Amino acid sequence: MIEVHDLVKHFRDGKRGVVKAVDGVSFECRPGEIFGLLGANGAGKTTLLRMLSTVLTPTSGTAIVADYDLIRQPGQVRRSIGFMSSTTALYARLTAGEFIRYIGNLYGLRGADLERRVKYVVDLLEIGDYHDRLCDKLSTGEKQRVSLARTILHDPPVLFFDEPTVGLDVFASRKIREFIQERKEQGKTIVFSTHIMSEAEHLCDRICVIHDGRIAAIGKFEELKAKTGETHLERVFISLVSPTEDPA
Amino acid sequence: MSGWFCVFRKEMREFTRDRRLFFSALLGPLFLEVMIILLFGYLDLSLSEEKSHKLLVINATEGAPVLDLLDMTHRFEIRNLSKNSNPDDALRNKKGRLVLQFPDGFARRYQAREAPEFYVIVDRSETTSMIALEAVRSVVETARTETVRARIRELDLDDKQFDPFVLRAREAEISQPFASEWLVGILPYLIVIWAFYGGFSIVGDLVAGEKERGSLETLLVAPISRPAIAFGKFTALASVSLVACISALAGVIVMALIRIPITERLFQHGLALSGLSVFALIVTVLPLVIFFAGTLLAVSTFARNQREVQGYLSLLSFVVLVPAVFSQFIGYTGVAGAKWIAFVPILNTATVIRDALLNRVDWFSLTVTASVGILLAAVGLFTAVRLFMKESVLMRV
Repeated sequence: MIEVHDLVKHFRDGKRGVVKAVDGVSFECRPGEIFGLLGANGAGKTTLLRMLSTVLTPTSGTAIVADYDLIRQPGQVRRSIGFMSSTTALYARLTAGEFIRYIGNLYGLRGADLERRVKYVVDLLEIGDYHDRLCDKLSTGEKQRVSLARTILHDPPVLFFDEPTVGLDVFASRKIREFIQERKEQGKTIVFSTHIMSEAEHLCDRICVIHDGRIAAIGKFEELKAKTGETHLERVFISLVSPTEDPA
Repeated sequence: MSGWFCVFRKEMREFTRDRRLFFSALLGPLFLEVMIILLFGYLDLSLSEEKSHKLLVINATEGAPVLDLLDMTHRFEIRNLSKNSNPDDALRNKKGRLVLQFPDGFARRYQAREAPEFYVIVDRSETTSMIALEAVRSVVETARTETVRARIRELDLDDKQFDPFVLRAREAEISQPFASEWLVGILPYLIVIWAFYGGFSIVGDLVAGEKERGSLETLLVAPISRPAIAFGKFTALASVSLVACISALAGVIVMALIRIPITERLFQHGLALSGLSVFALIVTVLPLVIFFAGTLLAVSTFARNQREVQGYLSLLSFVVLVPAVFSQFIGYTGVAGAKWIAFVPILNTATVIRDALLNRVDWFSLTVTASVGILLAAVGLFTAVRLFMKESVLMRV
């Protein structure tokens, strides 16, 4: 379960002054739900997810992630989440197996527990063939699978995906979407950020349209359609974030 | 702080697979040290050998009395030049180290005991020319003394009455140096340099590189505190710097132990390093390594990317190089024993290392140097950790 309360993040920029990257965002996401964050580049999606994963400290506001307070219990929050982003790289000089084990160690997994979890994720994501290969030598799709393995290795109840399919081919993207869908069916609480309309439409139970750090609308796809009077998500999105622009 | 060891172990594993590090921290210091010792051994041997100095002589028939004396020492190779040769040109063209020019009538005036003059043309820009001049002077001076004594005796006088005093030199019974003066001069510089440059090749990767690649986020979302991440990276970097120092020292020790002819004069007393000297080396080098590792990590954390790291490190190199270079020559200056040197970072460590290699330990200098080193190491580590905790620094790319 995630409850976000009026989360704000301001950055100080030499040229632009104070930048309101996230400005008073509130929502909640329940177990077994995929909550989509839909926004253009620079809308504030990544900053929001970085705050929810404790990488960034909010300027104000807070959130409850897996029953833990984001501000007061960041350590427990980190133990309860898996975070995957398209920009997150692997360590080039570690093999896929070493990388997964390293992450397991960071999460406190040791010995038989670690090996059991490693075996599970390696089998689940079919990493076995390149388990002993250096991450540097993996294809983009293979790297993405190793990243997924890293994300779920400690079996977290909450998962954050920040544009996980960017740069992937159709098959790899599909595999990831299927993977996320399976996690949903396992009852995980999932926040999925994307700027690809079709992904949000097909994968997310509810969509939060975010623009300039603020929430433009939240709801199921049908609700957003009804609210805007549009039929396609792209048109819905444009009419929400830029009402003056002709969606056609 | 739990979890730092995981980070340390992972960094070390990556380092072992980084070929750059193999060269910069392991093979480089070892190879360079061996090369420097061989080079210095050769230089020392060349300068110390009773080698023949090539002398060019104009009007050799007149100079026979002098040339006979020089020839008897077997230290000179004498070659004649034609009477109208230009001695300056001969030296410029490196035909010899000195030109001896005897005027007409020199032999006759010598026989007549008229103290005739002859000229030595020397190239002051060439050390070998100056050394040859001293060798000729020494022969001439010995001949003069012997002649004076002989002539005094001819007068039935005791020649000892004409000596105002007699000077005899004795080597002080103090510590035996680890190596020759030359090597003791340059070794502290090299150890300090390797403490700094040992981790140079990987420091960019350590934080700035992770920012650039995006792998840092993986660490930041893991349940490990940021000070623990910084400490894990710091210990890995410090270990690499220490390995570079040890590797450099190992090169010296190996060369001292194997005792090949070319280096024999450099290590006349074998591996003569006292336990106290080893202790002094450890307590001063270790804080320096920690200080450097903390500083380098702080730079890598502060920088946006690897290119920026290289820019900062180029500037920082000068801060390290200047006192390190000065430390090589401190033995020739009047400040070698000054107390204030113990308070100057890097220079103080190099001075204590120099003393340790001379098998001397100045407790004041050692204590202050170690204390300054520990203080700086703490500041370096603290700065690195503080920067690592600053979101605005860590997240800027």
